[in-house]
Amino acid sequence: MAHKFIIERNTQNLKAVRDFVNRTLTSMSVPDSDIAMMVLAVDEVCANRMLHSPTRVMPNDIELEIKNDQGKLTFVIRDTGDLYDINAHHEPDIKQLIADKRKGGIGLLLVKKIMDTIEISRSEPYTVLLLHKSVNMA
Amino acid sequence: MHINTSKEQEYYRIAIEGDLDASSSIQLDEAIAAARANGEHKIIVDCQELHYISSAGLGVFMSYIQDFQNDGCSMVLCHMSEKVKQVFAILGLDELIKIVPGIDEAKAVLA
Repeated sequence: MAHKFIIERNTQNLKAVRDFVNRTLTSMSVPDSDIAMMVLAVDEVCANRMLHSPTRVMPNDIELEIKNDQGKLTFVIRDTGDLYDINAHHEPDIKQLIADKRKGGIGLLLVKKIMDTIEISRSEPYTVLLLHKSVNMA
Repeated sequence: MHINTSKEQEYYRIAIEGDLDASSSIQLDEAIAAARANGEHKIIVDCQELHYISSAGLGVFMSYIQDFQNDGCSMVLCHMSEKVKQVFAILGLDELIKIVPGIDEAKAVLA
């Protein structure tokens, strides 16, 4: 069964993204504590894509797909925004961010801490992110 | 997301209701900035109805740590669910921001 969701790239839609992830992982019997963390990670990636990866072509949507291979979860996030390599993202110093009174800069750090691996690729006109996470199924 | 503010004695209470994410965190930022601009020195952030927080919300709290240290103000968070507290804990922010169980403990910290 495909678990797909398509929504316009607008931060007002992040709640709908979270609800989709929550609903889908619950239907897969993923433990609640894991669901909360993965909802956060997907929310962070989608927010980052919406805010910091502009698109110049239509559609202005984000496609989200969740696959489950016996507890090996893959979140596929696809949009037409620019490619940004999360894996090359410099890990910020929290104390320095506090000293600088910065409000941003920790979203991708949260994603890296929650997910096992992240893959990013470009297949014109799309940027595709794969977030992988293995969980112990009940 | 809704924010309600109230004043009880010297304590200024900011109650957050709903989800604090990239689309709503600006409201919390404005509420804290307004409290500071009004000279509030003892701020309690009531998280009883805060159901979700992302890095955008964490970032707002994080950005005021230095200001509060500099000007002698204090901010305490209370009534936080375990699910929300776990998000603060991922980056160790639960060690840098005062989080207590309830209003009475918050007042005791600020006294």
